[in-house]
Amino acid sequence: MRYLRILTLHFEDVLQVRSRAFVYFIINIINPLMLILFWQGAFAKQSTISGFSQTQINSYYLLLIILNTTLISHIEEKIAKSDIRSGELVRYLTRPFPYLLLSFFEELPHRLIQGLYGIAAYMLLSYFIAIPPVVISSASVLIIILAYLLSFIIQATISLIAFWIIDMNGILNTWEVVRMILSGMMIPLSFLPLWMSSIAYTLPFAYFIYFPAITLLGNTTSHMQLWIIVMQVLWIAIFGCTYKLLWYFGIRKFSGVGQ
Amino acid sequence: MSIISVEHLTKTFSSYKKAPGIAGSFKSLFSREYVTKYAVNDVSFSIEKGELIGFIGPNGAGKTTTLKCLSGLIYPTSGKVSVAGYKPFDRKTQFLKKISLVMGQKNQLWMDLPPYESFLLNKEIYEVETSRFENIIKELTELLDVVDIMHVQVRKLSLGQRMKCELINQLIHSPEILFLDEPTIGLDVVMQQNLRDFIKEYNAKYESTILLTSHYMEDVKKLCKRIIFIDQGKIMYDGKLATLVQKYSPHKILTFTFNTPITLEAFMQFGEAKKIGNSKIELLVNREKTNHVAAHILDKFDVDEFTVEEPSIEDVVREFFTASV
Repeated sequence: MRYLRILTLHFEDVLQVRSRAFVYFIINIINPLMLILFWQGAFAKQSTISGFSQTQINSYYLLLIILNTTLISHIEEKIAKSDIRSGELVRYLTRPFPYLLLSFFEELPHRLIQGLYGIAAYMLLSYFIAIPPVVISSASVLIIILAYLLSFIIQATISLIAFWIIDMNGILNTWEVVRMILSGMMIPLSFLPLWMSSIAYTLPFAYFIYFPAITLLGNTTSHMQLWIIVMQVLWIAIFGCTYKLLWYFGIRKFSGVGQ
Repeated sequence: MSIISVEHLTKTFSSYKKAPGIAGSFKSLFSREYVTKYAVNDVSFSIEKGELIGFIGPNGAGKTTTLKCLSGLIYPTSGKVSVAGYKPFDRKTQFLKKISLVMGQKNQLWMDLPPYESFLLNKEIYEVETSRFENIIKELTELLDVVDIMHVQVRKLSLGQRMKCELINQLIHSPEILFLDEPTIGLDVVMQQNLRDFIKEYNAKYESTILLTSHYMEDVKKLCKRIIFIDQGKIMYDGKLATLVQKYSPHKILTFTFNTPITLEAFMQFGEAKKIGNSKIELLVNREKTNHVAAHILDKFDVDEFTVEEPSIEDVVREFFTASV
């Protein structure tokens, strides 16, 4: 109940600025819609590409609208730039509550509100674009929850580099590009050359966009779903430990006025 | 048993020295010369429960760094620090529930929500019982006269109102130890006085230990019996404010307003004299001779008004640092 009350209070804060969530949502919707238009040209000459029909590809990108807005954490801006770089971390360190958990409660309302916008847009667009229904099961719900946790812990961990680096912009921008390509935000990973898709399936990025997307499309077997969940848990554990390690050493470098 | 104990605390920061100009910038790409600066250098002191202590010194003296070490924000380079029996940097939950750090230039309040919502968040974070929370809020909002603004967006509040709410936000869990870093910075004179009155009352009522840093000498003068002077990371003085004033200001200021015009020369024998207008004079008189001089002037001259004052704390501090150098 205590955590729920803390989350509710953060919801109140996020809801205060009505236009903010909508503006960010518009940014997130443009990319998938442009890609749907792009693939329409490619499907004019053939009915399937790498096992995807035009309907499936449309569905994939429409799902990305929801997944992008809900599952991609943007906590790095807050942790790296505001808290560590500008010293706002002092506001958290004297409170008897874990910094990571409080940051999670700060970020989650943003994702949920964005997700609601995403679902609304998905339902609206599905009237105009032919798509098959999504497959909602306990496994797909679990995969989505783990996908967000993975995305959050990865972004939080990367942000801690700000304890050592003065300007994080370059690192975060490079990270963003890698994440976009290897998570399946640009194209489904099965479209990539075999060697590249093999790498992508091993790295964590695919587990917070691509695999949740194909699970919702019904393109995964139960055996594969189990594999996805195992990989997600494994990556969350790896990044969780890395976070703890970086925090342990990084916080000793923190000067309290910004790095 | 001291509630705060600091032994040989040292905190260093490393920064690189850049040679001037573009050549220096290019050189720094390949080779950098790092220098170590002592923000706090071998500082030791202890504080008893319930004390209200002024931690003062010029900019960059090490006041805030010490406060940050005491509140567990930064990791000391060396030395031992114990606050309420805990090592601050471990930031144990029980320790954090006993302390509070108010920084005049940082705030915890949500800007887009009324202050009450931020209070509710701290209530949950510090696990304060609802009935206790309500009592504390009622008491503190009345004491600080902010009852009417509890449901106004923080963004719309004045700096003083915001600072008061910030203080309430940090006191919700009734901390035993309060670190106040420049709490009156940027506030107008009336608001400064209000906050001072509140801090004094809070200290007396709850027997909380308060460590205060301030640039405003009035804060220290009005609130603290004991002060710690720090300069260039070292403690220069630790003791009673009154003792410091006596030691570094062996004079008192006597001001006389006369009913008739006077000449400066007539008063030079009593001490350093300064004439203000035709009929007013300010005398800097040796502490021991104050009574004698006052009696003599009152007897020999046609005095309209007469006051005896201690020198300003700013002058004492200036004198102290001049003597130290």
